[in-house]
Amino acid sequence: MKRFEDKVQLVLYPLALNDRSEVATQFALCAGEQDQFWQAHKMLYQHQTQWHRLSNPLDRLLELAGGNGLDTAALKQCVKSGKMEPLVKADQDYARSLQIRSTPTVFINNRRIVGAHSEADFVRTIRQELARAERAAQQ
Amino acid sequence: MAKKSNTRNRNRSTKQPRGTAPFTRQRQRLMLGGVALLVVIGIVVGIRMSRQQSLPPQLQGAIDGHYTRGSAAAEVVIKEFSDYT
Repeated sequence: MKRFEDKVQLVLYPLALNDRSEVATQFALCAGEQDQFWQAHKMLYQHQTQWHRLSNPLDRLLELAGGNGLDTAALKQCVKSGKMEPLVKADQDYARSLQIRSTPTVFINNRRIVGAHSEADFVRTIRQELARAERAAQQ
Repeated sequence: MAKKSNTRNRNRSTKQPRGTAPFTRQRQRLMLGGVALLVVIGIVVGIRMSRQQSLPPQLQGAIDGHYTRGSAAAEVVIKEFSDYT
């Protein structure tokens, strides 16, 4: 991604497919209020095995967040308030409208890539799209 | 002499099909099965490709209040839908 920084924009849609990931998604969005979204995002994947099977993962997530310098009281209050629920639901609706049934699903411009793919696959598709954009600009 | 050779040929021609007919039918069945399999594989690959490359109209008009990386004026936009679990 870094090599295409000026030419490519990544938009992340954390998609909650079950109750646990809904908590995790709200947690990440709440961390965004502290300008720590990407840190929380990384942490959720890095420590996934420590929380993803728990029936109530929030307590464990708050412990992990505390270790990463986030304001856990504010995080807890934010998640418990449910203020991020509309955003989570909006993304779920958007994903449904795009007929996304599994994750990861990635769109590179309008090209849909479903499932795990190698970095080389993504780089190839990005290059093709950049070349297409260049051709369109020349015309 | 010519008559003799004719009867020999006739004998040969009547014997050969008896032995090869089941083999030919089996071969035809195998070929038909192969063609059917290729058609099925072609349909599956076609469906997969069309799903991967079809243009969802909603994507073009999407409004993002989302976390992003990279330039907002980028020529290529990557939208990643991922689940944390």
